[in-house]
Amino acid sequence: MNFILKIAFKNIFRNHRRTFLTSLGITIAVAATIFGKSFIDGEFIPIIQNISDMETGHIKIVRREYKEKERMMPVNYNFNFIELENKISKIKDVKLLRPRIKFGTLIAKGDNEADGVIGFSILPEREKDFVLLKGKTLNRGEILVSKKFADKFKINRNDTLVLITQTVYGYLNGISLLVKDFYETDIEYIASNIVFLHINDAQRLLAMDSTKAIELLVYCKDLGSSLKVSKEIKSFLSDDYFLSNWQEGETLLSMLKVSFSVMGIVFLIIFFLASIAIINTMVMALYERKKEIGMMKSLGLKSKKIFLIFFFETTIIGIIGTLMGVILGSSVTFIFSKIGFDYSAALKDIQIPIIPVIYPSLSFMNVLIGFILGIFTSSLSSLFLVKRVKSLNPVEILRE
Amino acid sequence: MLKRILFYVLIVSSIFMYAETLESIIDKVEKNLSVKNVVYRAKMKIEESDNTREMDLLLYIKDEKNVYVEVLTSTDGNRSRFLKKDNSMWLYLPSAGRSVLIKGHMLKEGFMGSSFSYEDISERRKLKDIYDISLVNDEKYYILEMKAKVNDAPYKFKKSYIMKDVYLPYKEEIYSSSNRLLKEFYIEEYEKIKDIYFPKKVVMKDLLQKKNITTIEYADISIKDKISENYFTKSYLER
Repeated sequence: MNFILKIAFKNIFRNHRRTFLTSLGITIAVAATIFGKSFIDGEFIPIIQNISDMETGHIKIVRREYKEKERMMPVNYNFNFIELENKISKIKDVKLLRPRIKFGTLIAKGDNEADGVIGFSILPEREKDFVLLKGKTLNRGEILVSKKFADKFKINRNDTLVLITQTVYGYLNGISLLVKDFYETDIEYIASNIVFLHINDAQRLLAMDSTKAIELLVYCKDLGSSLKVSKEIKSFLSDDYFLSNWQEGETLLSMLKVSFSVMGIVFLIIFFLASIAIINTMVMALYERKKEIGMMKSLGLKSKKIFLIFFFETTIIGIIGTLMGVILGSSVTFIFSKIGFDYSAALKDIQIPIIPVIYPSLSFMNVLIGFILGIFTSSLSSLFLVKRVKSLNPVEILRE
Repeated sequence: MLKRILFYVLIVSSIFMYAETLESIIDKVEKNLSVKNVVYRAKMKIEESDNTREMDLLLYIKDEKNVYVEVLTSTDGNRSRFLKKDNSMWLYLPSAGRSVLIKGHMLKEGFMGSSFSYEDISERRKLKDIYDISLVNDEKYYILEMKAKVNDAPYKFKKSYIMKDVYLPYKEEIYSSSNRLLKEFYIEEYEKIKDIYFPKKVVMKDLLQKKNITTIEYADISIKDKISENYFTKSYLER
């Protein structure tokens, strides 16, 4: 076996150009696979995160009557979220719970009413990963408006804004809140319409007690486990509530799920083409070595041993190419995961809550997929020689 | 011949009597419903499908253009104050520390969360200026059918059942433009103060909601000679 390994190893260095070109082919295919998969993930991860942050959670629970009139944001269909939280937080796969109250309100500065906006009230300690609010602090008595909104209505830091809306009992109420900071987004719909405040302030404004919320968003440890968690929640949730899962129904995310499948197919095609490229490069390199095979056979080497020489040779080249591909793919992906691809101009008119910069998402899984692709397909390509090695007649080849 | 003349005189006079009756009915109703220089307290009870709330109100009414209402106590946390000055309406919100001008769609919202809209309580134009009114004679009531003749009328059509003895509506039915019954208003109790029949207990039912009934009971009604202008200022509202 040592002898076979030695020959295989020597063969690699015998023809530098062939070895270089073959391993370069593998390198490119592996790097393209790692980058392609990371780009697809990077494209969808923020969409899923943004939409689930803003709207759907992985699971969203509201009162059934609220669901029917959701567009009107009726605040009287609230519920005791503490009771539900106590039960849901015991489920194994649940990572985070976010109670929220959204309501229509007038916003005013001084004696002037600025506009009608959506009050988006949150429990800040549970929203630290909320993309729009990353790095922002929001305390009781404070309000966060977008930079665009602030510019439009000449709102500065430490200004006082007043929100005026109907309480759950129908009478008008108001609350004064201090502008401490601004959030930034290029999405016009959000920038012009959404102001963030502490849930306790919203409860006070709407004359609700501190246990009440309009919606409870549930986030699972793993996106895929949300259906299982939904099932568990449904087992104790009364008929007064409506539960929606991001994977079901008519949510934007569930519609995007179709796109995820399409992109999955696109990745499989990339994977398939990369495999074909690797196998093709290897097989072409081997097929041209007909004389070498004839020579080895005439020297008395058995077909099995000849095959093993080529198998080890392709595997070693595969390992070299794959390692280079992993380094190249990971490096390029890492660089672009920091720089990102800016689609602001293309997405300017699309009013969905996504950040228009795609950052490829480099993960261990994506590197592993690239690694397996390189090693497996390059080793596999030597199998194409089995039949050929057996069928070659050394006498005929030497005569040629 | 004399008989014929008498007959025509009777016909013509009855027509004039009828016209005068409609006019006088409206005048008398408006006299009862638009009392000036009055101060009173009111207990407002709002019953909805999932809750019942009560609030005590203090009201100063100088005339149709000067109205001040203050929530003294309430079970729902409402402590707002309301001012109608000329044609503007202001609501003071203590938790915001400022007042809000009630305008546009807000006029249709419930006054202090009740079944009465801001428009219901603020409309002080003469009925004849807003509605084309016809009288349907009935044994028990004068039934006034009022069709809006101006665009900014609070309602497109309403029917008022006027009690013949006191010239107060026993009931009013309020309809949408598609003739759907929206609200019902009742005067369940009244009291004669000086020469005015003053409603003491009124009920408004919002029929678009599953259950939304507002009952207002007036107490300590006192008709003054004059009420100070100071009550009807923004500075008093925002004090």
